[in-house]
Amino acid sequence: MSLCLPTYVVIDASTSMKPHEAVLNATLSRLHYNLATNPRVSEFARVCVVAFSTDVHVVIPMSDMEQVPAMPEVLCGGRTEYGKTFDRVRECIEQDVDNLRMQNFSVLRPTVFFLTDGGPTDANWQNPFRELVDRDWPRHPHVIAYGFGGAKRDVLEQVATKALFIADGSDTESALSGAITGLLNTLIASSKTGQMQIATDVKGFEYVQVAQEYVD
Amino acid sequence: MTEPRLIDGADDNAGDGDGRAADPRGWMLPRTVSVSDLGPMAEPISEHNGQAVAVKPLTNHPGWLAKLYRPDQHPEDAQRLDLLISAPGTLPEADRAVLYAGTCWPAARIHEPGNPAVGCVIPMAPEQYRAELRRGTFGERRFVEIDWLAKSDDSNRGVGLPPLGLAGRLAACRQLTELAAILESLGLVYSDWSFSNAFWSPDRRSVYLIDVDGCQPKKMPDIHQPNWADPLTPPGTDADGYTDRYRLALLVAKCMTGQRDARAFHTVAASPWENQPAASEVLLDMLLATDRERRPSAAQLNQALNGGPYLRTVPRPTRTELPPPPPAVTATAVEKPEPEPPTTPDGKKPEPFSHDGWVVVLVIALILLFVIAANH
Repeated sequence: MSLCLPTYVVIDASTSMKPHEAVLNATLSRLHYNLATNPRVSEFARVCVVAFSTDVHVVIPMSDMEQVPAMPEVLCGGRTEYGKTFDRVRECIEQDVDNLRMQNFSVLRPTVFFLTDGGPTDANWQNPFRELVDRDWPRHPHVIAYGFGGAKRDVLEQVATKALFIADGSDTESALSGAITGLLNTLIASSKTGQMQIATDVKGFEYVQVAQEYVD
Repeated sequence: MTEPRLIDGADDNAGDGDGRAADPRGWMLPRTVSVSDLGPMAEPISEHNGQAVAVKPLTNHPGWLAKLYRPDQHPEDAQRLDLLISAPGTLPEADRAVLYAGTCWPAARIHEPGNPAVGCVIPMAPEQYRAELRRGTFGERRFVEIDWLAKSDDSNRGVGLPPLGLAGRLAACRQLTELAAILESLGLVYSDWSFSNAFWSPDRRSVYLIDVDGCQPKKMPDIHQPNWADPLTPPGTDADGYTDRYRLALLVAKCMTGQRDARAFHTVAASPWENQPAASEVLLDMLLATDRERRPSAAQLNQALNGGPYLRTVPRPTRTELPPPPPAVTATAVEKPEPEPPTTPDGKKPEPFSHDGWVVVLVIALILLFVIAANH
């Protein structure tokens, strides 16, 4: 059975990202190109892209990116609702792990790459988050967070369960590009070993070790 | 440039007598060189990849790279590298030409005070192994990994590569097995047979093996690679020539069929190559033999891919069953999440209009109507 890493790229598409919408879409297209032209990586890392603002949108359901003809455009606008996002990701994981197993994959612990430029606008996001990463739920994912712009470090320190990257003052557009490159390098390295290998050297970001890493 | 200082080395005298290497590829310096002998190095083309901390082009030696190892290498590595560098000298001329043309065989060992194996000098892969991979609006010229042989012709077309066809696949696999047979004849273990360690030239239908400086005589630590584990080489034991035979067969099966999962085994078993009648049986014996030492050799596979017979001096191995094929993915087997309605500029999703609730009400009303009518 082939190994498979269910990968969730969860991107903030709220109003504060509106000025950077073109760069966001170009960056997502670059992510798609790099995955679609690396069969080894796209075979290992099945990817789901989620954009969140006031609502949560599954831009690309869990797919082999080679089979996805093009990355749909994301339109930015709205609030930064973390809670709904975590709920939706949890639902996706439940369904996707079943589907991948039906395809005879040996499914690794899912990984959520959470990219945000702002703090949550919903007050009660912690409960959905706790349910997402609840260790009693066998499918709980790792969360690797990338914060830039107006992202709240103290919040992301709670969200990141595996690694946290905080922009070191670089502008949002450079940070977006750096985060996607870091994400890609993580997937490439992980596909070589079949285990999560986090690329910690991410241009424009400070790597913050997660104080209390979850034990699988 | 000053004349490089000669040092004691296993092969300094293997060249033309003055310590220079007799390397037909044009390497002009001795087979052991210090870092300073090499002159300036350009920015790395790769970093932190396997045993290497960096691979840097040599500015004064176009077409050559310095592959610099992590500092924690074994001291015996210098001896091993010297052995590799001199090994082609023991081959018949034709094999030596094949090895040099189809691999980045190391040309020199790099040393510095206190570290006899800083790295090695290797040739850069020829330009013919690059192609532009296109997808959507993006395109980039880069090395084409042999990964693409283990994909369908449609997938290759999808990124702008020419379709391979059986002829293209066969040409690549013949060359791969020829190189493997040469390594086997030198008693070397490669262990790293996989999609990532060979480039493929769609135009010339040739392959180029990389990372061959990691070869070791007889056996070496078996580095885990997902989906390439030899079922008869238990974790924690060394990889040897028999492990190589399994991985080579797996690579050839995938590249010949364009399939990456257990379906490749089933396609091989269906013996689809009428001009290579022995190829299926040799491949299946290499992949499924219950006794790893009965796996046919790379040379036997090469002969079969060239249309030759399955020649052997020992009885055929018994084989395990074919692995079960993966279930066919159908629309009903894999339910994808509902497609999202388009996002509006304010980020709000339009309310979906659903008839579902009304249909249920209508059905219940009809049932009630029938029940009422039946009771009257």
